[in-house]
Amino acid sequence: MSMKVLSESRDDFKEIVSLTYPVFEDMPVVIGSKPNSKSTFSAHTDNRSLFVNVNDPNKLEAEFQNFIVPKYQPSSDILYGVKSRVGNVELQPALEYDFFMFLFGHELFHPRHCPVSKEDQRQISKSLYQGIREVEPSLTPKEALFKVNNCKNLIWDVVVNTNFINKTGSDDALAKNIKHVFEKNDRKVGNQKVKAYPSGIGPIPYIISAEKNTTDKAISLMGTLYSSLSFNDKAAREEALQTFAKDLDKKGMSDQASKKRMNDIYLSFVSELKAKNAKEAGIDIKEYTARAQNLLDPNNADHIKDQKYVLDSLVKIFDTSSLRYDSLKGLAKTMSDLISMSQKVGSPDPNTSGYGDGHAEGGEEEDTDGSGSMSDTLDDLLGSLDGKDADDLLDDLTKNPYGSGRRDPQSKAKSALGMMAVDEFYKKNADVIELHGSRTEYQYQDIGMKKKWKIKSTKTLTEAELSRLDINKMLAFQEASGLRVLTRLDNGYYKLNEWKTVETNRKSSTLATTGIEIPDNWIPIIDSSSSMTPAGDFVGSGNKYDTLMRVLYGIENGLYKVCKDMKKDLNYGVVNFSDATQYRGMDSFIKVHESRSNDIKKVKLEPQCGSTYLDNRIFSRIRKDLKPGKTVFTQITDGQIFSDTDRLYNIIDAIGRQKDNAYLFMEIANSSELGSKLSSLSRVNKGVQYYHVNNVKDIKDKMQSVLINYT
Amino acid sequence: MTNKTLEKIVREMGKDFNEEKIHAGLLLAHAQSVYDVMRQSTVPTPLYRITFDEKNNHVDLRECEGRSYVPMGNAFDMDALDVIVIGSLRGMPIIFKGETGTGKTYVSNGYLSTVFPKESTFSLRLSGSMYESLQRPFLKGTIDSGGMPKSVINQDIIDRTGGMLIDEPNRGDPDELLQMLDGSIFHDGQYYKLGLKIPEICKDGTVRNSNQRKKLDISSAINPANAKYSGTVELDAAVDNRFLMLEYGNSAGSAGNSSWLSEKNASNHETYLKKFSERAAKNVGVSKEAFRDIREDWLSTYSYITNPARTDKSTIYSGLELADHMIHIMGGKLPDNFEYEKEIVNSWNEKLNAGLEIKESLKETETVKKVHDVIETFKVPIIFRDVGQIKKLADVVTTLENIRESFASGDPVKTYMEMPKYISAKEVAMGSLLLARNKQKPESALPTKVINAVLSSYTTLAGDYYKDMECLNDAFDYSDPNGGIKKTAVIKSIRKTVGSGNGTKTLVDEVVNNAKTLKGYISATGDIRNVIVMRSVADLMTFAGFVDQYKSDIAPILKKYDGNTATSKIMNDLGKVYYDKRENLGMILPEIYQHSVQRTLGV
Repeated sequence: MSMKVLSESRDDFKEIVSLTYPVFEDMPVVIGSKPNSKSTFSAHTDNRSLFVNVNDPNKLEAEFQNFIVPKYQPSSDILYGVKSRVGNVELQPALEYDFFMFLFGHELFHPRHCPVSKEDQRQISKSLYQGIREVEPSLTPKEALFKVNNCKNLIWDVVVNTNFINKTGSDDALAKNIKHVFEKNDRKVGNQKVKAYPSGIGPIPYIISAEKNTTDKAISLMGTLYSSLSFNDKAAREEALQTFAKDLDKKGMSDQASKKRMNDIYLSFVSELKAKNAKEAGIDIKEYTARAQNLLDPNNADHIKDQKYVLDSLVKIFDTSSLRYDSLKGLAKTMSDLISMSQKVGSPDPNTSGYGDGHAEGGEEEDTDGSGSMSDTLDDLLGSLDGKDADDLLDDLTKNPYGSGRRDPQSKAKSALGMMAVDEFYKKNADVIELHGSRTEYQYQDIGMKKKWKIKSTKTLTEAELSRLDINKMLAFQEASGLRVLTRLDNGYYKLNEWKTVETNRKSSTLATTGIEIPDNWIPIIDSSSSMTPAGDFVGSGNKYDTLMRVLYGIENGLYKVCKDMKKDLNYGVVNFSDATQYRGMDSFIKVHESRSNDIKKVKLEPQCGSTYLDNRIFSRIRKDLKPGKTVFTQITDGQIFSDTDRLYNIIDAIGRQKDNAYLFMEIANSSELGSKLSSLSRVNKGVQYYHVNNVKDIKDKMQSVLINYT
Repeated sequence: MTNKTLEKIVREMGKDFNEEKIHAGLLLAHAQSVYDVMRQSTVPTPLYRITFDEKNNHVDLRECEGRSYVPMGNAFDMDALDVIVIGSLRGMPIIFKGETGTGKTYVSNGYLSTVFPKESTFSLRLSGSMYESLQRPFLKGTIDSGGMPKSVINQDIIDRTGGMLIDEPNRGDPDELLQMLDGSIFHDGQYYKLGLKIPEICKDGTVRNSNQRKKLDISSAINPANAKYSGTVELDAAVDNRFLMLEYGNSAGSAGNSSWLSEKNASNHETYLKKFSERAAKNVGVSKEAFRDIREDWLSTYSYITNPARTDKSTIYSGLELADHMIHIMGGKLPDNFEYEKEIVNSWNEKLNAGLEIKESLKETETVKKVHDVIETFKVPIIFRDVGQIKKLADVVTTLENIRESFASGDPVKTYMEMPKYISAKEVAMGSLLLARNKQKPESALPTKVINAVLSSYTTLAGDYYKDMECLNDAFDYSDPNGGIKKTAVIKSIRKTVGSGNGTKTLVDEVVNNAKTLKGYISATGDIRNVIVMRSVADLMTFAGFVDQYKSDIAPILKKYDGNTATSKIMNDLGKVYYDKRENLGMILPEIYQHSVQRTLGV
């Protein structure tokens, strides 16, 4: 039955959207089921479509039957604005319908209300970061980042849900259009007409979570917040509030403590506002405070008025640029101690990032290890924090970037984050090495089209026929081109030639210094042994690996620019050798360079700090991945390679002899026996280059020359 | 061209002479007879169904593709003949674009051959030859002194030509086509005005031909520029903009074999004239005798009936205001435009020391991106002429509505004469939708969502503003002549100023105060509403600047109306100050006033 109700709710929702938010009218609303999911339902948006799944219809129906209907039925007449209470059997599908409508609305409200743009998302992340750091100064920047990532969905949801509760319960266009669609479609609960969206729907997913004991403290507090703001009936509201009070009690937060915390949360929305800005926006902080403090008082006779005042104020605050971010910063400060560094909080299901499983709301689809969301958060912060704060965060992330905690549930995400930070560090700190060529060659340029006149048709016309044509044009053409157009024949006849142009390409050649010729394949082979970097924390250390990364990123930054300008890409792969010889295939250079998290990048940025062993079998694997065309191998090492060096010598020799191949072997500081042999080989095999380099400049120059000139 | 018929009508009416009645009677007789005769030989080709939901401020467009649908209360259906008839009344050239064999040319030709005698219309099929001239129907050949043939303009042909069908206009010379669409041809160093002379009824009851000419009724047909018609090229952009281009569907599926049952031989000018005369005599209340010379007088009578000035109607303020926002938003680059208007406001703020500074910016939100996505589908960007196009399209819709509403009543002539004829925000929204559709590249999704977003943002903002300004009518009303956001602000400002006996300083302060109230609607997530607010605030601030700069001219007006709240008159007088400045100080009058003051005052 739930699936049928879901479909009906979706159809009505689309009608409502078309009237209320026309630009979103063609946004697909995808409904379905993911039977393997842990949650009974799930919802998310990627800003292009809305997705709501009922993963286990029977279980969801049971949850409504056991947890929701008993709480809502006694107040059903007031909640639905109908004359008499609704029986359980009729009430359940009605509540499910409205619950799905809430999920659809919630997901639509992400792009509509929070975050509305990348810039908005960045500003929010920045406010949360600053709030968390202010209230917990002992946290490192990295820890603050984790907290921002783990609470941002909660914060977005506060903006989204307060807006939804407010707009469906006021004289807003949304409420009016819901009413219109309900009337038009003759919506009924039992046999009574439903004229408006019922109150008290927003807290339903939170109540289900609390009843299933899958909440954390933050989610229960949010459930309390929404309950205090959304019910128009005291009894139903108290039922919901009691559910969360009991849940919090189970989690060690007494009734008194939870009320105090809730009071802090209400006030947090205005605590960071600048008085001048609040006044300008018409926010009366004093009155807001007084009314908000009454919201949890069960004997408050003016609850509905206070609720409306607080809701209106919150929506106004969130909708005013000068207040929005300060307000959310206040909330982050109040919630900070409840925000975990290892997992997301504030969602009805703590194992997920949103209302359900596996996806981040309002953002891109989340990776299973949570790194997608984390990388977004890092990107937001690096894009919005002031220079020093951004540098501090980057510095902190690049210290021991890959973490150590194998037991840490988010170790994968942290490791991915570390890699992103290291990547960002080198992208930011490596000087772009401009790639210039030194070859002179003939270049053919298209210098336009060459036009030739050809007769298109010849007609014989009478005087009368001729006079109907544009004689001025004929004469002008004849004069300008020298071509014969009109010839007078005997007996009043004329011959008319019509000409047409035929175009051919014309080319010109010039001898030009161009020479930037991007290879089709590039494979850096990097020594990541302990002599290159004794420990993993090489970032910014000044050791050989750090130097190598700066050069490599410098070249890559330059190459990326050239690739973009020339609209050409190359096939790119990295080999990292030490105790093991690591290689994860090849991919588009542009794609790898642009991506924040990528297996090929991982190979480059995770040194092994072990021995210096290169498994020669790697070359046959690489060969399979090469694309036809020019190939450049760039091997960088600082000492004796412990492997079958004779075999390696032969492989390099063979590679160098193949047409269009280049093998650059670069030794830093030390000279090895293999190096000496390759140095000799380079004199007879033009495809092999050997360099002994002592400083960064040498590495840069040699790597660049081989990469783009093959010289 | 003779005008005996009109003169006889005037004579017969005697002291009951009422020109409005004459025109209404003839117009309705013309419309009814065209449909009557044409329907005997052609089945209708439905083009669009536009539904307008006034309650929810929502407009919807359905491209019928030739299919007919069940009549519905709020649906406005438009078929090919409707477009041709109203296009003629409003002086708008039409292009039908569609597959070969669907009847595009047939219906256009049908109209021309119904309303005009054979010698008054031409059908040109362009071949793309470089010497082919669109002017050829108006040329005659002579032999010059050197024995070469020479073409000269035949003025007689010009004077008797009422309409043209141009098949495949994209194959013609764009310059010649442009001239023709603009109502003239250039030949041998001289311009010749095209079209039928329009007669006018003088006070003494005589009728004479005026210097005005009614533009030619031009209809065209074109194949879609797609793979199937590889030879078809897109129209020149300037030409494209002058036409109303509509997709022409294939009604074969919907009409089936209805065309077999049509009385194919009945479609001709003679039948039309006979039916017209009978109906017109009845409508106007004169004898059939008055129409005895109608054959001879027909061209002048036709140009009298279809003179666009006769069916021109004003646009009420809220319609004008909505049209401005539609054009502004469909122009795209919303964040840039927002910044531009912000700069205007902040510059005026500095100059007038107004205490109204805007700090907000418009971000590339999801809503803004979606609006831009639709604008990306336009073949050419929104240009100044599109403002006029929206007006024309809104006018087409209104005119059609007016005529239909009249026929639906018991006394069409009386109903037509008495009904208020104006263009409201409703028709502007419908016109904007047709314009946007007309500008889109083939295969684009309908632009409805942007039109509705602007419409709903504007109407809800206006409603909110009326409430805050404590207006008597606190909901947006499409037919309220005093409605409109800026008009409300200006009227309130004027009332406070003249009511208190204060001068220009107070008027400037009041306008600024009302602009400040409007500024309060800018929100962090407002998107389109923010764009509308910002443009309105910028216009009001510019108006305040205008009042401040020309206070010596405006002060006497305020003094004259001291204590009087005849705001419309005051607004008109303020408008006169603007026109006076434009006329006499054109060179030094700041451009910004020309851009903004006129639309703020709605004069």
